Amino acid sequence: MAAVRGPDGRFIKAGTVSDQTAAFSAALVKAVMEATERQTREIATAILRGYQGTPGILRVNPTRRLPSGNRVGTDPSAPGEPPKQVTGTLQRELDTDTERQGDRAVGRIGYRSGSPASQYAPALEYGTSRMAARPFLRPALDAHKQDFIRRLQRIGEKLG
Amino acid sequence: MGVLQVNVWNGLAAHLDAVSSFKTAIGGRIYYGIAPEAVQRPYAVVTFIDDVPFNAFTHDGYETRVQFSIYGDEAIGHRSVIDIADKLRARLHRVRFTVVDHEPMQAVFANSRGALLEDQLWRMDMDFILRGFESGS
Repeated sequence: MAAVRGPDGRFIKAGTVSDQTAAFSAALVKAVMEATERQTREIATAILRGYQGTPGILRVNPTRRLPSGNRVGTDPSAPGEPPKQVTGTLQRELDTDTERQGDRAVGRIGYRSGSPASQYAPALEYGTSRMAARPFLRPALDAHKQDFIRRLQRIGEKLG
Repeated sequence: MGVLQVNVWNGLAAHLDAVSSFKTAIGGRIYYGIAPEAVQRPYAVVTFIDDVPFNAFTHDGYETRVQFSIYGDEAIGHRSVIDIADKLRARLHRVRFTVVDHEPMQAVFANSRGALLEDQLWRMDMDFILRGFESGS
């Protein structure tokens, strides 16, 4: 009975044909999951870096991502614009997290609960009844959506 | 707001202004950006979150994300606020509406948040992705 190589190149243990098929499909699912998780983490990091001012978001839509002219200062940002940098806390504390939930890889970009920025970031992102929103996370996510889809398609092509 | 965004907002507002259970439930109080002070509840606030040109398959198009925030006070209760948000979803999800100087756009439900209590008001947010294709593409 010939041994079957899994997607990682290692031999899957010998057994009956149906065992091998099951083991192979399990290995394939595992490879896709790991690739998806890695891509999710990469995209989350790209979004994070883009917001923190390195190329990425800026390349996608320079006029919309950050207000032209004075991005730094204590005068308030206009409604609909991303928040201005005052102390840099909002940029510094932005963090990513990836975890598996069943057959999905879930990436999160945001603030750890208890961090100083977590006290006011939601008010900026979503607005309040007394203040219009200054969204900055969802625009970054939307700007990277096509990139994410393309990366996932490439994983599919490699495995296909 | 750019010209296209103004036209998209007008198209969306016209669609929501037609008689619907959502409009009745909200009493027609839909505001852009922020509501006037001491406005009667419940009410809705709409914000454009993003506008990105996108290239999907062979079409060059335009899509934007809009956030709806439904506000109600504690007397109205969180269940009513959630109920109004459900009516909004029924009114908009997978619905096409017309936009001046543009192909029709379609709204697709994206995600929701809440209901949560904020400054003694119940609030529920719903995001929709509005997508349309440029004429001639």
